[in-house]
Amino acid sequence: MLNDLAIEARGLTRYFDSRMVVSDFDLSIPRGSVTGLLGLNGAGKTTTLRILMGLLAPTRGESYLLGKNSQCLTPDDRARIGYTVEGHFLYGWMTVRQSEKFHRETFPRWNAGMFDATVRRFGIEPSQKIRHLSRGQKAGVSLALTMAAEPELLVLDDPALGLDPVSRLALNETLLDFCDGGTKTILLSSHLLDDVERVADRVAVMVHGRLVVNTTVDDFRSRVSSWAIEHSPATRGVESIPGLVHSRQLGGKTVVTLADCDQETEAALTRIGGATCERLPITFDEAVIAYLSRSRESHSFLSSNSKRGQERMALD
Amino acid sequence: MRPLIEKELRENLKWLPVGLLVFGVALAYCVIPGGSKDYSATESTLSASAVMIGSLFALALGVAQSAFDVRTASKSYLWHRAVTPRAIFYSKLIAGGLIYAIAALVPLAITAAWFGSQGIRFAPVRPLQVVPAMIAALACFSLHPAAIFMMVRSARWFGTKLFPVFGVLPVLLIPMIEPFPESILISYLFATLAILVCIAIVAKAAENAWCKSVASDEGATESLQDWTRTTVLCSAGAVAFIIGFGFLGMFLSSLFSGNIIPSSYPRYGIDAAGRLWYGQHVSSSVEGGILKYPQFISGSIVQEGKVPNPYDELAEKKNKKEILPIYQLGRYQGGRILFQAASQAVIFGVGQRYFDHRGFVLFYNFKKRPALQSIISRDSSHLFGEAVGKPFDGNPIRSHGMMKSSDMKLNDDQNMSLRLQEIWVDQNGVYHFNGKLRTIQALAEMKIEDSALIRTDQVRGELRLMVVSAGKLHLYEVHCALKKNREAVAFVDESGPPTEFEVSLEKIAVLLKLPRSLDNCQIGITEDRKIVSVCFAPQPTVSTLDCAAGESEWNTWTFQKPPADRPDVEFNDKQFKPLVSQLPSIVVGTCYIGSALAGETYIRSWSDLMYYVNQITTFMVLATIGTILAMIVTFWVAQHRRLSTGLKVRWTLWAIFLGWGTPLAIIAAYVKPRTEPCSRCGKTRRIDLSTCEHCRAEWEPPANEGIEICDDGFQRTSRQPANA
Repeated sequence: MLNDLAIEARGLTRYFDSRMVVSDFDLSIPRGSVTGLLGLNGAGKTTTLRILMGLLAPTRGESYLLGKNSQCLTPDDRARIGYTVEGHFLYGWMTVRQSEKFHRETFPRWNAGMFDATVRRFGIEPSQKIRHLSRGQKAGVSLALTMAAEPELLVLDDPALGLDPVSRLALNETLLDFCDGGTKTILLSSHLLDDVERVADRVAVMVHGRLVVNTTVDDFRSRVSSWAIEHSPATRGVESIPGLVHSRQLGGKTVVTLADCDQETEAALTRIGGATCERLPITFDEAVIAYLSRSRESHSFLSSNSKRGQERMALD
Repeated sequence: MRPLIEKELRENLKWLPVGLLVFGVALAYCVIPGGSKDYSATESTLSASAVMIGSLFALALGVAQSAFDVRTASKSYLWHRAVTPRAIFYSKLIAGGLIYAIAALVPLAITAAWFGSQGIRFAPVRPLQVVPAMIAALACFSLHPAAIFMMVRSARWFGTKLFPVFGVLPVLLIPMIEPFPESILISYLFATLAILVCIAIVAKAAENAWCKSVASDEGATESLQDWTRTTVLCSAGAVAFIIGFGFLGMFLSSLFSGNIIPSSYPRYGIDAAGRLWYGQHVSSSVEGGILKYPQFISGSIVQEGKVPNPYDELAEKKNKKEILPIYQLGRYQGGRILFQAASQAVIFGVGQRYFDHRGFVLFYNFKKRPALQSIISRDSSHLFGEAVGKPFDGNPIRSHGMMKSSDMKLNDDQNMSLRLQEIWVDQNGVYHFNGKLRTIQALAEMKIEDSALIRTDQVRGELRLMVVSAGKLHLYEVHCALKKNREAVAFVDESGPPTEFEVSLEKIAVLLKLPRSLDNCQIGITEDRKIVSVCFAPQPTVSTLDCAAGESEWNTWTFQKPPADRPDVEFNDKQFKPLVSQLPSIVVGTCYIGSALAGETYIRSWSDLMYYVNQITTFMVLATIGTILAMIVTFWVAQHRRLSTGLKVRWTLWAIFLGWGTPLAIIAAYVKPRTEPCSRCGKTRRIDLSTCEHCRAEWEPPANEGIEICDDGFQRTSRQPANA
């Protein structure tokens, strides 16, 4: 089982001071898959990736990369894993070629052709100083450096952050080329849902440090549904629908997004919406946004208003 | 590791010019020639500069090298490659060491080359004098790994983050230790080896901290089996304790003491009648341009079977000057100083004298070029040139005796010339040195083990010489008279007409039986030849002998040793004394050491320290109470840090040896763990343990919200909505 998994985490929990940022995080990612890790800012994605990469110790729990405990990764293990840091950190005083030399000398395998091809794709001259590159070009160098080491597992922390559409396209093409053989595994943290949908075959969603979705993209799409209900006094009770991910007002209707809609759920919908209840088509983006909106609302003043509203309804 | 070292050098070479500049300026300031410069302090001033600049530079370099690479993004980028964290750490250490070495050694090497090129004709300097500064600079490099240790150390308070730096401060004291005074080179070698061992320990501790810097800040889970980290942090605890109590001591002193007269300490003396006194003695000082002679300001006569009180008021004012201090018989120990100045370095504008450790006395006049005027050996005096003749065995000018006018009626010139007549003693004999003519004449040749030149009256200036030779105590009186046959001789220099004096030794007595061992004895003699000796071990004993009366046997009796007291200061405000005496001596002693480290005072000898602990019974009781209290506090702190029972017991036992530094060491070494209430037993439990320490309950998984979608078998069973 362990050998079939590129990444496995069991009960990862991490506190910063007294604040819990990753909570009881369980994750299994099979080899050869491309997984998109999604979540709002502050959801704990970067912390989770740093723990997985052995760059931060969990307060409790354990994680494994390519079957090795991520807190005990050896240089050989790290040579098999590629990792790009959020913001594409590179040494600004180096030229692109010096960066390549620095990496080549600290990684045992090096595919110079892949490096050159990748930097060309991003329109970068090897003689350019890193500090003079645009954000997209820095992303290109960072990606080229990571992939030229021919890793079996690639962990990318928000690689598309701040990239222009052309650079994003180049990034996506590079990733697709990389995992073309089906033997390489990618874990990709991102805020760009269409990019993730295009590249990834699995999706993981973090809310408040917890993993609430970890499945294939197709499975996720099929298990999340959206319904529209005409406004009526009964629609105030949508909060009680089992599997309710999110609800919002749209025109004269209440649109609810549900997870794993079953007979019990449909009965609740019928009870609340009656004949006006209508199933809507839902895209991947909308399904993910429903999860993320739920997370955002619980942090905003709206959530307290909402709770007060519920209390009023209960009194009514 | 090569690419990592290159990267470190490329990033930090910008600090090299800064280092070269600050080291260069500091060293240049030390070696700029000057007429009033004390060249015997060359080694110490160079070392002090090296310590001051080296510490700051090593610290800054360590911080600069690690501050950037401990940030999240840069650390992740640097760490995630096919090299070990250890290699990354050592690449920093090696690159930092190279930069530091160049920054420190180039200015020191230039200084040494300059000393060598100028030679002793210019000033009493030699390239070897730079070596202590090099050793001091090497010691300071220990702060470089300590700075890296500090930067990666997780601590909730800035003060405890600094602990690694505190921990290596004792390494800076190693160059001051002189374990082999007979041999400079062996002392240097010992210091270098000791420092290298310490740097290795600090580097290993910093390496471990660096490699574990990804760890959770809940450090209490670690068992601290890494003895290097424990050592550095324990040292930090001890240093913090000493500094803390030192400043507390200083604060208490300033709060209660009022006006402090410096350099007052208890001492034994004799009066004209040959009675032994014990009192507070003040060294000579200049106040308002007036020289104040050393004198006793209080004290009492030492009587058989009684305890003398050093604070008794002296009956008459004149007693102050009539009580003369007695002296330790001693010999010159080589030491690390290559050029030792005479006790009175400037003699009436004629010049300065330095004892070259090769056995010659060098005369300098820094108003002339070349400054070297004469080189004096045991049997000759030379103008300029290299040293020739028989070298002295030991420093003859360390405690030389200077003539003063007594019965002679002299004019001003003669009086000046008289004051240039000196008695020198080395281990081969006694010499008369004529400072006016710069000639030397042997007065007695014998193997001298110990000697003391004693002035029977500090104003009139009778000189007595006591030497121990072949197991006998020889007592001489030094006579000085104008030469009868010629009152004036030819000029030797332009400073005035010379006057020749005849100096001779008159043997007063040879005592076959010495008053016990002289190692722990002080001895004095009165004008009418009464000898008084006081020995301190194994029991305070006074021995007297009246040579004038023809006595040949020592009259010996014992007295009670006075109680311990602060030897360094006399408090005008006597109200402070009872307070001090009530404090446990171990606390007072610690305050004293702390004050010494803070530069407030200095420790003269081990015996000074032992003043605090010389009452064995009291000390043992107080030490036991102090140790028990330290153990209780240690156990409490260990419990507060939630250490395991085994660790608590081990640390508590360590408190027997480390005392009050132990709880501070625990605070330095362990981070207080975070806790939360246990959902089962309600007691607080550590968040970094998978089970509750009290009820063994595991953590409960977060409540299922009913929206989880997973395909890997991780599926919550509950379907209850979150808001239900």
